[in-house]
Amino acid sequence: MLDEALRELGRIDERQARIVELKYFAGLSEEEVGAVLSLSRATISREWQSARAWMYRRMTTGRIPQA
Amino acid sequence: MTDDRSRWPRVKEIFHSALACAPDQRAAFLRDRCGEDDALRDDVESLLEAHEDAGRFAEGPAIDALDSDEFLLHGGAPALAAGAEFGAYRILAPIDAGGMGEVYRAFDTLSVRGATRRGLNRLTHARTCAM
Repeated sequence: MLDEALRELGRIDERQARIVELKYFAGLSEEEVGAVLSLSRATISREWQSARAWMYRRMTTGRIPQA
Repeated sequence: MTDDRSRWPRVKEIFHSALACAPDQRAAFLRDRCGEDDALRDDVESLLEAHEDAGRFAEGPAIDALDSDEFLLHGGAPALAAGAEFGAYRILAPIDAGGMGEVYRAFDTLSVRGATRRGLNRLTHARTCAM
């Protein structure tokens, strides 16, 4: 279920899906994720925050926002 | 009409700005930023709710969540536990099990050790191997 949500996130925001993979599945710190993706820690932190909220919403409500 | 992919950067940006607002100013901020676009406002609001409700969700690495059986879809213990090494792979989490075997999410430790740019690029792709 988490895997499916991650795949869907990857379709709308590939960079955020990579951040989730590295931080959550691989257990890297935000600094390490930043080093892998050549992004600042602040960017990782921010992107993680909205990616996590998106994943949580997807898993608890099944909602995929439609425009 | 936009699809999720084109809409998401805007939703995300408003979400982050709303989080930076004092809670009692968020509603006015969202009205101002979303204007007549009710769908956009609903989208951001539900994301903010999810953020509030998420608690400790995914705050620690997935390996720590294994005790809760979050990833084990079928009954029975997997043959390999998180952290176990299988050849060049380090097991991160069991994903599924069936008649043909078990599926794990694993890291290719060779590409990690290589630590070259190419290795790191490979590392950033989900590596799921069937055994």
